[in-house]
Amino acid sequence: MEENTVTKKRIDTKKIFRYAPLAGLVVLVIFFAVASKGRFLSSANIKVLFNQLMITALISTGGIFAFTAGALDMSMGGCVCVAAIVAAFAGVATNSLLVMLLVVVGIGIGLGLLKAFLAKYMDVPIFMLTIVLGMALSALGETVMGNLTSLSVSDIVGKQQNTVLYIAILVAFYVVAMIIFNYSTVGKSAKLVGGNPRAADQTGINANKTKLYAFLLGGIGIALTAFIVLMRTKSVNASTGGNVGMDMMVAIVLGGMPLAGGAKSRISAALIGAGIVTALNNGLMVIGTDSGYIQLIRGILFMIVVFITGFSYRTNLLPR
Amino acid sequence: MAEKSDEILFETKDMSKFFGPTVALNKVSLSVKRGEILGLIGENGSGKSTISSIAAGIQPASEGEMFLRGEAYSPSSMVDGTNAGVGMIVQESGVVSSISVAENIFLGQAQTFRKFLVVNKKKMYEESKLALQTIGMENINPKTPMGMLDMEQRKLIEVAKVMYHKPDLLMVDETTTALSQHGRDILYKLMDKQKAENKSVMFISHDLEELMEHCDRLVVLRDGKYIASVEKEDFEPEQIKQYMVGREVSKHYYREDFGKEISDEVVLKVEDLTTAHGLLQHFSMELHKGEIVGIGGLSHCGMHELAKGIFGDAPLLGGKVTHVASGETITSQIIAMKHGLGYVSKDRDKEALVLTASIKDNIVSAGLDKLKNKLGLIGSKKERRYVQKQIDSLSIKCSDMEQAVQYLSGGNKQKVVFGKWVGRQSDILILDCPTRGVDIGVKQAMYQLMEDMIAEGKSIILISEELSELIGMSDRLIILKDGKESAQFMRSPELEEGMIINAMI
Amino acid sequence: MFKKVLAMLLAGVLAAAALVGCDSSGGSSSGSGTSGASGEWKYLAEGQVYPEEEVKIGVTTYNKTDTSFLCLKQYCDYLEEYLNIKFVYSENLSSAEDETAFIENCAISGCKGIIFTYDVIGHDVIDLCEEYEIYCLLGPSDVSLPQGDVYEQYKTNDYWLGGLTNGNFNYQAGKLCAEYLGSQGCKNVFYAAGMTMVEMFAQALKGWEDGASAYPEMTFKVVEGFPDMSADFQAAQKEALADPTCDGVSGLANPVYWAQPIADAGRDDIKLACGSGGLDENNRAAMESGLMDYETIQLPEDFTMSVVMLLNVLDGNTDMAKPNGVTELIDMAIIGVDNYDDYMAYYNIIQSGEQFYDINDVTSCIKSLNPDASFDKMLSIYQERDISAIQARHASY
Repeated sequence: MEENTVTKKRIDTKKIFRYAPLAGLVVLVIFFAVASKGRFLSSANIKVLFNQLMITALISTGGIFAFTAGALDMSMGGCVCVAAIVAAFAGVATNSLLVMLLVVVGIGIGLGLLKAFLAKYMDVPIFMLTIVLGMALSALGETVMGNLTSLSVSDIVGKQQNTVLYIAILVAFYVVAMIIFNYSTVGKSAKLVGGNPRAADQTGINANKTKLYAFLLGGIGIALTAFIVLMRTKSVNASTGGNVGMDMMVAIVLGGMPLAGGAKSRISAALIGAGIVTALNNGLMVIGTDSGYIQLIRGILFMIVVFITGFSYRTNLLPR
Repeated sequence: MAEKSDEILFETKDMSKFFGPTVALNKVSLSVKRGEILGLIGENGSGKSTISSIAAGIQPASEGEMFLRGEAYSPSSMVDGTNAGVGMIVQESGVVSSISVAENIFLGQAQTFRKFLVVNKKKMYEESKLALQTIGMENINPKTPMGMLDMEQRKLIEVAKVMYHKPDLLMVDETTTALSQHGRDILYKLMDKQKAENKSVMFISHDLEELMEHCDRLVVLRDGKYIASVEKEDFEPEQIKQYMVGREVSKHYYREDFGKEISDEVVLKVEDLTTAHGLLQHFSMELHKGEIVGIGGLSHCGMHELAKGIFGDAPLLGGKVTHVASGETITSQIIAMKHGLGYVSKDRDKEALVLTASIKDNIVSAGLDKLKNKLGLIGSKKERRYVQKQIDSLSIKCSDMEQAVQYLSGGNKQKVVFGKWVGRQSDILILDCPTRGVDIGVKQAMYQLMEDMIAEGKSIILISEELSELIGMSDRLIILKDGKESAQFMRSPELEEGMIINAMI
Repeated sequence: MFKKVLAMLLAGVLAAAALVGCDSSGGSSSGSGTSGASGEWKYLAEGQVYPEEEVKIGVTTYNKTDTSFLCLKQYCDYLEEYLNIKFVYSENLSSAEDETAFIENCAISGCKGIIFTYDVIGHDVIDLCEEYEIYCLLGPSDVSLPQGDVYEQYKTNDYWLGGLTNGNFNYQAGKLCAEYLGSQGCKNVFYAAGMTMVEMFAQALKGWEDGASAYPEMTFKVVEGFPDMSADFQAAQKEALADPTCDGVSGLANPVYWAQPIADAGRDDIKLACGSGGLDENNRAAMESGLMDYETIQLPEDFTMSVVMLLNVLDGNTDMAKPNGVTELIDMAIIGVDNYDDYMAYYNIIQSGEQFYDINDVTSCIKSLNPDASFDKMLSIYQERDISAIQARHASY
């Protein structure tokens, strides 16, 4: 018998996919820094970048758990809307920042519980359930606003943009979320439930309980996001939180998260994706792009990423 | 029967295939002659399925050449392969449940019946009837939705699908494991027919006896390399096993002890169990400590449902399962696991594994409650140690524990499933067809594992469709028929398949 | 496989770069800033570039396809041709976060001021502008206006330059409509009040009531809603129109909505006074056919007084924006038109590509170009509504 071996050196394409979103972010940052002659990375703009990063990053970090467990939660925008509006009214009525914070947390957690409850007892796919819920919540927010076009909370939160505080909140939340995602039974269960709910069930992992935790974490995300929205825009109106849901989905997709969830989900997708979206929006304006083009470029990038992630799914089903 | 000619129908030359860093095929050159039934055998990871899938056009080779009827051959899809005269009956299910039998047979070929954009269903049904006839399944109505047929019928529809195109080279990949004797007979007849028509068959299987019985020649692969070719007259099972494994295979396969005394201590009590779909009816049994109870029967006897029912993985219409030591009734998987039960499902890919997740994630999935600390967190070092222990003791072949389970061979996947339960030190294991699709070396290791376990005082319920396995491993063998116990046999060297088959039918 | 990925990423980045490049420098709407080819502007010498360094001005909008925005953009393009300014338009803003992000990005990309044709943040937007050191100016639409105490709080804010507001428009519209119908001798008017919980409709109603108080013989019925809105309204509307003593109809709604109900009731004789404010084709047709008897209109170019104020302030002439040291809130002038000829006079100026405020008008208000410029003179130009006066003014340069 001859020994006819072939060398085994091959580039591991899987590793490339793993780091692609981060690489993409770095490329974007460098591109904008150069194209704007450094203005993109000026200290003033770095502050602005963090200001704008906050909301998407917070909601994505909280919301990614539900997606991981296979629950497509489309209600985030409505949730933030209601949480922010009710908290604003409560805060203005009591003139207390603390009250505002407590209300926002209470509503966030309450919404998380509500979603878990609905998911367990209603035999409707979570995707549809949350779309309807989101719309209902937005309508509720509008009703609470009544005939006020907007309500200012600047007396309570102060006039300036407190970027350092925002960063602290984000870092704290992200670190906790990361630990839970990667090292706790909640995170692991979510990945398993999302990857194969039947197998997870057979291994004694309760899908409903897992989704409950996921929605609760999402609820904290909602609470923090609503709070930052209040601190940042210093007011609420009927359209508060409107884009949050869509922004979150674009962000996590660009960050490398498979929308179907499962074992390949990564929490870094939340942060990196939010970074990419923020850098794009801000960078394109800083270098003077017309606003119509900004939307176009965003759309193209989104399509490219979806296409590439589509690639890897197909090649994985061949027999050995 | 035609003379065995020396004309080569299909040939590969120095064919290699890489999956990332993994070498699935390593410069393999083999050939299939006309009028020959060639058997392809090897352990998991030997590359036999890879070769057949490349020949069928499912995936391309990374290097090397293929020839069909003397001409260069490189199909870009399965349809290409089919049109060229190469047909393959696949290992896992290749049929679509939601459409009818006829539509499955002609999957992807609807344009043959299309006239002016409308598919001529009537013609399609007629042609399907013909196809079904060739395999002796005329009694099936081509309009039946696929989902209504059982696994064996579905597999045979797949066979019809492939045979309809009259392939010159028919490849049968591990198909027989899913079939009953009746189904297997149909297949063997087809293979003989191919031979009679001076066409060829490439028969891939784990079952050495089956291959030796039906093949003219056997090619052995190991670790992606071509090892040897053995002619029928030279078939020697020990020698072939040695080729497959690369070392001398000890004769010790099944258990060799007899007359072992079974403890009186009952660990699990099954009383009057009736499963929700009614396949199992008022079944009762007791499992003793250190005992292997084998459960056998025909496909729908209810044994698979029994496994699920005991583990709390399926709803029950009546009866209960009690964990004797604690006295608690088992009503869910969580409770079962709490009391040390473990369940290896028959449907590995769909139920026992999360394919896209890593080996580590899968093995840890059953041990979350054991690994977590007070905060619910699992340290990564602790996790790795837990998993590595299983990888080492079960010899799971992988590039590292982060590798996704979907890339492993069938046998290694099965080892991962075992690892889930062994890792959390389950002491009552319910194994449903644990050695299905697993070959000799791994099988042997599993039997050894089972023996070690009962020696430690653990208990096993072994459900299997392989009689020799049941006979070889069980202390007690319960045969089910139509959902009820029909006979019980005690372990004995005189126990023979014939006796058992009578009880099953 | 890897090569494909790389190629695609590269293509994407290149495409993005190409698209960016094609807009940021050239393009028809950027300010090359040279004076008109004919060089006949009175205050701008031939070849003179004003402002010397390009001034970027942000403009917020709710809907980029809205006709009023498009009208506005047309005029902005006109200004960019002759002045060295560039307008940076927002995307369709819908939430306070979007607006905040736009303000920040404008500031970073070097805009000197932002004109808010749409705002959801409320008066806090002024603080935001102050933080980023960018001037805050108002635009023509319903901007939440600091009033009362809040106004007192902000009136000395350096960054709030005020500008023409729309604030009083609705009140005026209601009042003028009432006065017109009253002067026409109407005795029984049907007033469609819209949604009075929304500010603009509440204002209009108040104006209507104030205007009608001068005509005590005119009775009117106030009904919530629009034509075409709810079944309740439609029933009330039908009832009113069927009543032969009802001789007038009014409200803020566009005449388009009244056409069908009035025709159905066969009441061509009824007097329709609309506070809709538009100078577009629909309104024109309604005026022409006699459906609409009276309309209160605004001139879409009015907002550009904000631009003038900003440029002056950047030159250091803050008195052109704050003559009394505090922010001035000036109501945009509104005019009522009751006949087709007059209507067409205004309409034609827009359609023919002429401007209400041509470059001469604009530059005459820039103190660094015209030392005689003053705040009051600027106001008189931007509030002149008489067509002949406007034409005379243009001829005088």
